[in-house]
Amino acid sequence: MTEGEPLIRWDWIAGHLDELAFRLGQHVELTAIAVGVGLVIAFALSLLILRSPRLEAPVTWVTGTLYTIPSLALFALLVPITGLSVLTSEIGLVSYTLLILIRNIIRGIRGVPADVREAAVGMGYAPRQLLWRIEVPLALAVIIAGIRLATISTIGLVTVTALIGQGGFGFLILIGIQRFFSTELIAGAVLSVSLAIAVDALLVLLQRRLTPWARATG
Amino acid sequence: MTRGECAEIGATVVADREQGVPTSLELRQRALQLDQLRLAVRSPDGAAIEHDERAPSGAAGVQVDEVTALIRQANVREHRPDRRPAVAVVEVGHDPKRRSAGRGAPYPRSMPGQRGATVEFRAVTKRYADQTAVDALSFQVPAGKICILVGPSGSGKTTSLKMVNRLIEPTSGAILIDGSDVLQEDPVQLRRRIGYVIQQVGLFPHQTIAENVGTVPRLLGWPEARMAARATELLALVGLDPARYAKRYPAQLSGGERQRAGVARALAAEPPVMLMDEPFGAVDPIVRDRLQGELLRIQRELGTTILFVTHDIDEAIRLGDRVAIMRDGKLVQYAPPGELLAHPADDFVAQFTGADRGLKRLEVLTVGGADVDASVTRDAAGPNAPTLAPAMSLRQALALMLQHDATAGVVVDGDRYVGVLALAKIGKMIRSDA
Repeated sequence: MTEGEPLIRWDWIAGHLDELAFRLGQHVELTAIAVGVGLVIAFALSLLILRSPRLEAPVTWVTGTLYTIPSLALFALLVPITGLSVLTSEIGLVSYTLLILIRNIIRGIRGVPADVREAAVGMGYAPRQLLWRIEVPLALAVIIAGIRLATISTIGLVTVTALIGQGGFGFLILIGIQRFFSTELIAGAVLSVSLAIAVDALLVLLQRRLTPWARATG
Repeated sequence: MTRGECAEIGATVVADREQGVPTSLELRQRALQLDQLRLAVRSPDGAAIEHDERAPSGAAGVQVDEVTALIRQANVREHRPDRRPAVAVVEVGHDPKRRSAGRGAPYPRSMPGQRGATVEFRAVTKRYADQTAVDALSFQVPAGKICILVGPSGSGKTTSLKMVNRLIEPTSGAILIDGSDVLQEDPVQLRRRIGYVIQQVGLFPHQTIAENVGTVPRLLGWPEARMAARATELLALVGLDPARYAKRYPAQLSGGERQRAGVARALAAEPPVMLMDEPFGAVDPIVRDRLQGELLRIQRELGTTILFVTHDIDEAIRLGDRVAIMRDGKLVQYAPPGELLAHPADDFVAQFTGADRGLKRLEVLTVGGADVDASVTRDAAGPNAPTLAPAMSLRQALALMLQHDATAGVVVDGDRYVGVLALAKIGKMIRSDA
């Protein structure tokens, strides 16, 4: 950091709004793809586990192991195979969402009361109708809680992908570090955190919107 | 009032001056369509005892309870708090001046052909690895009757019930509904034709009461409007005001209200058979008593065949047309409640029905069926003698005699004197058959 320079130069920020908007778009895109693809994979694996519970231990072991690999190492390992690409970033980011999402989808669906399930089957719900019309809606609160956790941690992790040429706001952090420029570093970090808070709030609103019955008591 | 329609409370109809016989369900459907509702209770000679007129908005929310309360008021006024009027007539009508265009369209005279089916168990056996849950069970339930499966826990009654809608598959044997084997049918399609009510109700927490009631119609692909109309109709039938309850979620209802909604949901697609697994086991005794009474009323109205599981012998005797007593997976006795109490098949049944089964039996016997002495005048009954109706249960008759400190009662059918029933005759019935 250069002597005598202020921590934040607002004129730099004012002059780089286009850049910030581009990084915001990139950050959101990387996160959305990661959580979206993660959700699809997690849902499929969860259904397999719910059908044959024997699979729970191995799937949990694999996703748990993925979760523990340091992100830097994972991206470094992938670069020789998939290059400095969005694909490399997403392979890593998706891997990290699976453990949380699978755990919550399974917990949510197993939490559907037995009497509700018995009534539904007894009245003629076919297995698929039972899943989509009864189990998933009732598990929604727990599933969305998982999506919130996965989204927040993904927004944080996206910054690391700056090292392989992506990164969203993480790119600002990386450049700020390299150039000893505190304004860019702080802007990247603060905007990344703000994005996480904002998206989390949106997901809370979404959950309230999707589960109106949860507030109807007494 | 341009048209009067008359129904006796208790859901059976006594008269209709113009067009035959409406059921009380129709009466209520009609009330929903009217701009104004007028309820009137009349004594047997036709004099108005009590009436209640409602504003247009009140018409839709009329409850059987309110009508019952109105009759009770009338009785109090007539100083007959202990008796129903021999004929309680309720009239529903509307004021033509208040009628707005487009409403009040005529309702169909009767429900579309709803009728109970026969249910037959043929040597049905369910074996698990370590035990036989149901052992060669055979019995037949006539169409439109209530059959109660009763027995101690582990007797196989719930297993038997769940084999009817194939939530449990029998190991061998056949279950026939109206002669066709349920095992030959697709289980999902089969279940949509069979009503199902369980103790914990199992209402869907994420759906409103109206949506819950529309469950099977939705699975069957009914149009939205028909589904909504059906939900309104059924909520009224089970005594839940549609205007108040349709849009609520299950969490906003009491236990008794939830069970009513559960019954409405089971009846939505007019199933010929309804299975009920200890439906009133989790509600308090007062609510249970009311729900039992209303189940009987609804069943009489719709003619649905009901298989009902309970471990409560009193419930079995009150509700059952037939009672199947089970023990260790076997059918011990299958008989109407009166016969069960009079002639228990073995010591187990005798013990299960209780030492007071003689008294219980009075519940299922009527004054009309007892040994009424028609050869004496009413004076022979003594000065305190209460008046008894032929349809009254002997238990009620006994209670009245004890209350009035009388040794006999005067049996009167409407206005006609029938004879005298002596207390000693009732005592003899308890002794001779128990």
